[in-house]
Order: sequence, then C-alpha cells, then structure tokens
Amino acid sequence: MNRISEYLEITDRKTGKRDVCCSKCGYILGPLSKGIYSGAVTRNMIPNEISPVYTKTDQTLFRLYYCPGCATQLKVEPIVKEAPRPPQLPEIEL
Amino acid sequence: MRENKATDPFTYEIVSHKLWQITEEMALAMKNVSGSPIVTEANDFNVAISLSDGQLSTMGAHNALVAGVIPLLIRNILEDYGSGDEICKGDMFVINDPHKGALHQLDLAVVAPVHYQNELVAWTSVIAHEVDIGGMQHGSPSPKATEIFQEGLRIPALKLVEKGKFQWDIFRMILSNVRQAGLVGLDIKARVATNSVGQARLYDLLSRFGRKVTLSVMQGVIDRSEKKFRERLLELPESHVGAIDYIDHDGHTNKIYKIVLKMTKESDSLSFDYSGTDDQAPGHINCTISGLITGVMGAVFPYICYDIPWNQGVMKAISIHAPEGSLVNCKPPAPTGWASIAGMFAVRNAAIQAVCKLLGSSREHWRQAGGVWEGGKAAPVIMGINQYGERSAYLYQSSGGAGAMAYKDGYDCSFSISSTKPSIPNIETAETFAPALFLFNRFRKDSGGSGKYRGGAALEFAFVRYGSTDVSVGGSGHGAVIPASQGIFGGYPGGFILRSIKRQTNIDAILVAGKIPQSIEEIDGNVEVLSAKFPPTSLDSDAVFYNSYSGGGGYGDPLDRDPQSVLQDVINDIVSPEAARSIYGVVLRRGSVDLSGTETLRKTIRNDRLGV
Ligand SMILES: [Zn+2]
Repeated sequence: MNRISEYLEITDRKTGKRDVCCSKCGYILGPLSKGIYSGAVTRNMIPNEISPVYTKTDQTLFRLYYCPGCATQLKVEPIVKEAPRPPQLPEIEL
Repeated sequence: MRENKATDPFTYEIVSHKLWQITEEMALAMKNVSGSPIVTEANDFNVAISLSDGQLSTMGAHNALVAGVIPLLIRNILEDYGSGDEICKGDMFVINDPHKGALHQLDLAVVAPVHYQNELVAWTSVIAHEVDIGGMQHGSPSPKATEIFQEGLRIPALKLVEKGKFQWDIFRMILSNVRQAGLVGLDIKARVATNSVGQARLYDLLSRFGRKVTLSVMQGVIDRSEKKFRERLLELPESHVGAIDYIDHDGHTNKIYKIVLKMTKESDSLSFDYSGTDDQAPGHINCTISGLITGVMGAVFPYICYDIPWNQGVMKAISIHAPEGSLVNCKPPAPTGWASIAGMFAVRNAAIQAVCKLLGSSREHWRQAGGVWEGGKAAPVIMGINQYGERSAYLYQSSGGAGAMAYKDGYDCSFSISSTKPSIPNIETAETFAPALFLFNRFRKDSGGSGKYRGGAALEFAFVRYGSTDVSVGGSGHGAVIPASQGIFGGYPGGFILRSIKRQTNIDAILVAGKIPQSIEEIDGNVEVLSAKFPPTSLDSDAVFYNSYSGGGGYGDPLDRDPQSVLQDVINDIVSPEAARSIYGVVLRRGSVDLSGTETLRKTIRNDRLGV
C-alpha cells in the first residue's frame, strides 16, 4: 500500500483501481483521481469558536475534513470567505 | 554534474572544513564589531563564500533566508561591472537594491572579490539587517508607503572599498541618508572587517593548498550537495502538490492576499510555480525575485536538506517561476519594505506546506513532515526619543513556535527554521536600547497549533514606556485574521498574531504595590486591538503595549494526542484546561487524566464531527 499522508493511503482492493483509504479504519473515501479529500465529511467553523487564540474576525473560516468511517480529522484548511481555493489546485496528485 | 577528482578525500575534508571555519570566523568578526542587537543578539545576518561566477559554495551557520540571495547579488555585480578589469583586488561592493539581488533595503550587503595571482577566483559576502536605511519612517519600512522610493536609500553595487582604500565619500553619503548613523556606520565597518577576515583567510587557503585544489573543493562541495539532493528527490514520490498561504493587510487596507503554489516533483528535480498568486500590492508586503528564490530555499534547505550542505548545488536542481508583477515577483515601483517577513515569508510558508505534503506521502521520509514553523513575524518597532535623549528606533525581534513534526512536538519559542543559530534579544538588552520596561515575556497559552503533536508555543510580552515621554510603537506582521502557520494532516494552525494597546490602565498602581503582572488580563484598561499593520502609535504613561507572535502549526488529529502529554502541557501553562477538554477531548480530574472520561468525551467529539 502506498502512503498519502498520516491517515490516508492508496488501495486497489475494492475497485481494482486506485482508491483513497483511511489507514485507521479502512474506510474507502473514493477514487484517488477525484482528489484525496473528495470523500471526506466537511464542516466550516468560526476560528474564534474553536479557541480564543484565533482572534475574532468575519473574514475567515476553518474548513475541517473528517474520515466518514472513524471521524479522524484529516485536514484543517483556513478559508478566506471572499476568495475560495482555486478549484484547479491539487492537494496532492500521486 | 562532474565528479570531483582533483583532490584526495583527506585533502577534500580538510579544505572543505577550512571553508566552514572561515565562515565561522567571518561571523565572529561581524558580531564582535557590530554594535547592533539585530546582529549581536538576534543573529539576523549571514556570511558566505562563493566561486568567481557567483555560485554559493559555503554558507555560514546563521540566517539562510538572508544568504539565499547571494548568487543574485554577485550576478548583478558581474553584470554591472563586467568580469574584467573593473573588479579589482582589494575592492568591496556595498549593495541593498531589491531589484539587484537584495531582499529589502534594510538588508545591506557588502560583497568582496577574492583575487589570487591577479585573477578573480572567489567572493566573500556578509548581509545583515540594519536598524535604519532612511525613508519615510524611522526604521525605514512604513505601512503607508506606496513606492519603493519611500522605503530608504536604494544602493546598486557601489565600491565601498576600492583597491584596498575605504571610500569615505560613499560611506558619508550613506550615513547622510540614514537615522542612527552611529550604529549604521559601525555596522558597515563591521561588514568590511568581516570581508577582510574572509579575504585574508581564503587567500591563506589558496596559498597553502594551491589554486587548483582550493577551487576544486569549493566546486566539489557544490557538486556533492547537488548529487545528494538529486538522490533524495529520486526517493520521493512523483507528484504535483498544491499549497496556499495568505498575507492579511497590505498597510493600507485589511485585504487578504493569497500566495498560490503548485509544486511538481519529477525524477531528480523539483519545480515551484507561483502562478495564481495575487498581483503586487500597493503596500510594503511584496517581494522581488530575490525573495521568491530565497523563500523557496528557506523551505527546501531545512526540510529536505537537513543533512546536506546548503549551497548552490541544491539550487541547481530546483526551478522557480512566478509571474512578473505578482506579489512574489513584483515590478518597481512596488514597495518591498517588509518583503523579509511578508512576501518572502509567504513564499516560504507555501513551500513548507507543499514540501511537507510531499515528505508525508513518502514511506521513507514521512518523519520529516511537519506543520509550518513560525509563519508570521510580529516584531514591534519602538521609536521616538530614547532614554538617552536621542531619536531612535528599536526592532524587538521575539519568537513564534516551531511546526510540530510527524514524531514530536514543535519547539516552543523556536525562532525561524531557516536560522541555524536561532536567538532572540535578551529583555535586558532590549531595555538598554529602547525606552521600554517589559512587564512579562512568556509562552502564550494555546498558541501552539493543536494536534497529535503540538506546534510550538509563541512568545507574548508586554511593556510600558520608560525613561522618555515621547515613545511610539509601530508594527508590520501578518496572521492576525488568518493563520500564518498552518497545521498539517488534521493539525490546527498556530494561534494568530495579536497586538493591542491597553489605555488608561492601572499599571502604575500595580507596580507601586510591588506586583509584576504575569498576563495582560491582570491589567485593567481599555483595549485597542491593532491590525496586522499599524503605523507608529504613541504610548501614554499609563498605556501598556501587548504583542504575541504566531505559534507553530500542529501535526495530526488532536484526539490522537497522548492524554498524558496534554496534562503536562496544562501543568506547564502551555495549554488551557478549556482547550484540553474541547480540542483534545481530555478530561482532567485533580491533577491527573480521567481515562474513562477522556474516552467517552473523545467518542462524543467524534460523533459530533460526523453529525451522529
Ligand atoms: Zn477512518
């Protein structure tokens, strides 16, 4: 199995094609070709509600990505409300 | 790439270590002559030895981000003066133009050719951050600047020393244009001393081992680094990796700028493409191509080349692109005053993110991955009339926290990863130079990004004016509304930078009562939160200035952190009991971990994440 990150790896055991798999619980998140977080559960949070160390602001959010199988937090992404992430930018293509 | 066969292995080791030793002696000369705490305390300088064509051979063990521009500086000197007769034995060039290879005008370089048997064979260099280089604001970069011309004297390569003769006219011209000319003048002479040491020791080396052996070893250390670096790249997965970093506030408005990177690892080379980055800003956050190049190297050197000498060999395996006119490759007259902590830092932060995602995907090298390391500087400039009755500006360089790694927490109060001898000024030194009385200087609770491994805590400190009634504080940083130090693989970002002034406080009464406040919350008053960039703001006698740097990014899911480590952090006052519970899911009871309570709470948090 090939490693993607701390919690994700590549597997072909379900579809015969390269899928993203959670290394903690084995959940298949989806085909690698769609992006490593395409099958993750996401939610947006106000940074200051997570911790006061993130000063109150109405300009930014944190987007949190979880494994749908075991709820492991895979990524915390800062988001600028008025400038979303460029859609063509890959997280990592292997 | 050539194999170096001109020397036997023993001679190679002796000469290559001699080169290291020469950079060490040059750095000592700089620190011993300079009177500036930026050099003597904060180590914000570096030295280097290069080949005649400008290839960086041996870099000093100080700030790599400062030294990464040296090949560009020498290339520009060679272009301006030609490689022929105009560059003479005994010359030294002073240069600080960001469009001629410098990072920003405050980083003044003195670069010296080394001649042997009447031929240019090498260069020595020293670059250090100055206290002032002129311009519209004391300390030079101003958030109000709209053009580079407002940010101080811009010096193309000029001969500060010509054929061994110090050019007093050039020296006087520089000092006429700067504030605190005494300190700047001493620093310039320190650079001449540093290069004098470098030139003399290199000449000795050439005389002892001969031209052919010495130069072949200088080339050999470059070739070795290139070979080792390319071999390491071959061990890493073929990939395209994306990353985004942000800079909030351009000095004029609180706009958030994005720095977009697509990194490609192909075979034994690595390319960095910053297309998609926002256009150059109207304020002083831009960097020129110098900042772009040294920013990328500031990530590649420490993360991939932790055991490979940092020199031109590594740079040869890397290609870097950014559109001209973008924030990270700006055109004149865009201001670049704080390129060193804004544009260049964001280039580096995005590169750290991308490099660490690449390392994290490697079965062999995943342990080197980590969160971003002190992504935002938040150094205040204390200015006005100092306690000696002189007009002065003092840049107090404190420290953020290190990014957590895949196997350990980030260092608390780490300083920059690109500085191999990190150091921050002692509070007593700061109080000697600036009209300020520090109240506390401590780790900021919860500032290290939470994670399986925690990012390093940043320092927070506060001071009041002291010994003067004319004291202002100005500051330029980023990461006040969006994190400067992003986490990785589920780790949270480090805490935001935060600067504020508490006015109409009871600080006098507290001090008269013989108490020293340990946190800003212990002082009553009206809080004015400052934006990421703020112009000089005066301090009244009862005003307290508060400042926090950015913590390091965390690594992995905080619910995977060992509860005993969370307990230890709470005992050490680095993590609050509230964060232990809400972020780490750790239940503490009477000074110990409630294991079953922790298990239940973590299960509840996981269910909550999935909306179960
Ligand atoms: Zn899972």
